[in-house]
Amino acid sequence: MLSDVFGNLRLDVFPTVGMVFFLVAFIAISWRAVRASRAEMDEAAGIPLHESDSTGSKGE
Amino acid sequence: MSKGAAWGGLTGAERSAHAGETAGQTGPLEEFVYDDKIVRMFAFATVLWAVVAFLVGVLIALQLTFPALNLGLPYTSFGRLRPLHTNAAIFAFAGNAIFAAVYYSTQRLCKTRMFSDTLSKLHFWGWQFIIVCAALTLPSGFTQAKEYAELEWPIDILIAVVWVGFFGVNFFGTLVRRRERHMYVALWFYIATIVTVAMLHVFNSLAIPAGLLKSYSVYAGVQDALIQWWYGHNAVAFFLTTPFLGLMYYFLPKAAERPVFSYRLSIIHFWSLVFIYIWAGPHHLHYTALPSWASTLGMLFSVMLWMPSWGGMINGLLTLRGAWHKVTQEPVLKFFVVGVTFYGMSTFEGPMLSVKLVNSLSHYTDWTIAHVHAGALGWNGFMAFGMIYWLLPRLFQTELWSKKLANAHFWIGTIGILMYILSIYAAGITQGLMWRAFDAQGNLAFPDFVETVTQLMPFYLIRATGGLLFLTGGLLCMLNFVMTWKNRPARYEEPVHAAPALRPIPAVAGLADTESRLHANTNLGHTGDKFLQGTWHRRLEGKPIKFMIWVLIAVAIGGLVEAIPMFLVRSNVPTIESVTPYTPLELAGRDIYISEGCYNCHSQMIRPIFAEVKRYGDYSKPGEFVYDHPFQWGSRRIGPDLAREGVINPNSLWHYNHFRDPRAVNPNSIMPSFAWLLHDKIDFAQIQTRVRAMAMLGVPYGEAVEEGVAQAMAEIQAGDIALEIEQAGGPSVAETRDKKVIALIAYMKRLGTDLTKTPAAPAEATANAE
Repeated sequence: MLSDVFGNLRLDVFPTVGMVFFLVAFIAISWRAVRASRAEMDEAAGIPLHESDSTGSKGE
Repeated sequence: MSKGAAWGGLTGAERSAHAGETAGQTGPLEEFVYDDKIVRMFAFATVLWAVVAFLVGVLIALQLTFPALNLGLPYTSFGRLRPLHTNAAIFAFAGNAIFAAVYYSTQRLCKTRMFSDTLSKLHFWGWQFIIVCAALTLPSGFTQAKEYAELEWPIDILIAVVWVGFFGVNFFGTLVRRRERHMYVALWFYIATIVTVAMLHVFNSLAIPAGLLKSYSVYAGVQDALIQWWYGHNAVAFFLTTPFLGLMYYFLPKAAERPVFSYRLSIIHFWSLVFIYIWAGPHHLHYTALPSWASTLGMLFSVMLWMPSWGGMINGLLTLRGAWHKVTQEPVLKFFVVGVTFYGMSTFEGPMLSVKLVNSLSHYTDWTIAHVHAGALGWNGFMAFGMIYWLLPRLFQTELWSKKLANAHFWIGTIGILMYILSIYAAGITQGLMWRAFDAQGNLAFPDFVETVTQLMPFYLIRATGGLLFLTGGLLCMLNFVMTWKNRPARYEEPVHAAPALRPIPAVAGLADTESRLHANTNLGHTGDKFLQGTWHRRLEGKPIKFMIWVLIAVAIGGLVEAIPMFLVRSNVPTIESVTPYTPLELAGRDIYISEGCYNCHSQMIRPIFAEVKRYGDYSKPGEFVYDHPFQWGSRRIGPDLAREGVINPNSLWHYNHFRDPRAVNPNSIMPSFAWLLHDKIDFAQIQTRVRAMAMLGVPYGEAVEEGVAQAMAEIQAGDIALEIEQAGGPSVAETRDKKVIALIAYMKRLGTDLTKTPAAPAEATANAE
């Protein structure tokens, strides 16, 4: 039955639906990225640098 | 500074969200120690397996010029060693590098020790055991014949257990108990890696066992091809790209001592990449029997993929703004800069190769091999080595033994990569052009395939030299690693770190539930306004399990959109009446073909391109492969296509002599001798089990599934072929009738003949089906 349902759909339905999902997600994510404040982004970008990586007393 | 400026101009909702985060970080101060021992173990395994992978690569590269280098042994023949090389490079070298990166950076980005030391150790030893299993089974001829997924079913199960049960649980457990509210973008890439690789591995590896180390893919022909390249392409995407991007986003800023250029770009980069990449697989199957809608879709998404890929590359390179002067001093940065540059080049070339017109020239040629190695050696190799050199002083708490040696490694490796890829680009384009060249009369200019092979020998030699240089670089890294380790302190210092525990965010703080700013009275308006405030993604960035689910949804969409119609719309694979299952002996021969790795050099797919039809015969149809578990279309042509071999060359004695000594038949051939097939006996008793396994997959074997029938049928057909060889002047029936070569010849003689057969009478067909 599932095969009949999908078999009767036009093939371009599948990529079109996928594309719509992508565009919605892309716009939403871009919106979030653009809307974010500089302070928030700078804070997030700096996370790896917060931690000092000690090389031990022999390696200093 | 005004309060507003200090907040960076945040809106009320964002400000309250920040307040929530701050509130969440004011828990009691907790002390912890990082587990660097596990990172040391993975780092050493990375360098060790790098040397092994490169060594095997150099050996098989040399075998293409000097076939005798397999020493006449089955275990060292090209077809068996090539999967070992690719598996060692991807899963052993790159895999261990990924794990070293994940275990080092995750602990620091989460401000916590790994969730479980036991799981860390089980992960390490489990993964090394899998690699050893691969090193034993692949040269022994146990393979599923699906590129980069060759390992047999018991090892596949082990991979799933180690990946999900040990690695995945350990990683997500660490995220859950982290002390840093925001999950840094590198962690997102790790999440995508773990989730997607698990999904790809499970679905591509579904198979029916036909013995302890033998199985048949549950998919056949066109559908198997789609699933395999959905897996194959995304093994590149989610094993060789996303984790290395995570590595880049963590280690490059650390090495450059600069934050990533644009965190906004990294957000867009991540989601675009994971969403788009998964669709691109079918571009590996242009002009094949795969329906063109699927391959066109793959092409379009591959071209779209260029944008996020370059977004990431630019983000990586621009992270070095203001720090370029350090590149001349630091070998680590040299490796990273060239690595990221190769990422940019490979991700430009990939979409270009996916364009159908370009692909018609490049596919099956060495051009693809050059592309793959630009990515693997340049991007993965150099990012991994850069990370190793950065880690060594920190892991062993001493200075790097020799910076000069690291610099020498960089230059030798760079020259090696360039020699490798440039020569193979030239070889690939030469091959492609020679295959399609016509003379003034409209005939193929190079009708003898071997002409197009001998032309490549100089390129192959330069390629092997380039590979040798890259291997030398790997050995230098190993030396530096061992000498740095020898200089380690008698006892490692274990700095105790402290960070406040994360507490649940109070709902009142705003982060848990954004409030609408509108006074409108429609729910839709309120929902839309909350969405527009954008805090939904910020919340997601702090919730690992929800984040994982959304990543899974993103990658599942692309896979489902391609797989559902391919499996459920029957018109994709029109059946051909004359196509019948392989006879039991042909099936045994096909198993030998798979076991010897013949698919590594020969395709079985004639594209509807004039030069191919002229050279090999009628183009391949989807319906021809409905009983092919697994499909054997191949991905390159070191030797000619075999899709119509049974039509073009049905001479049993010719095949017999060719397998014994290819150069006795064709002096310029570079095919290895398969002399052992002339001595090894067919296991007739085993054929019955295999026929039954195929019948379980829906192959209509009729009465052949009954006890002893398949074996008897195979023995009769083997006798007929042996007699044919004897009558043509070859060795006697008694000498050959039970040898493996006879089964392989049966398979060769069958290839492509279905279209020339008369379909069975309806009554007979019904009886067979029953």
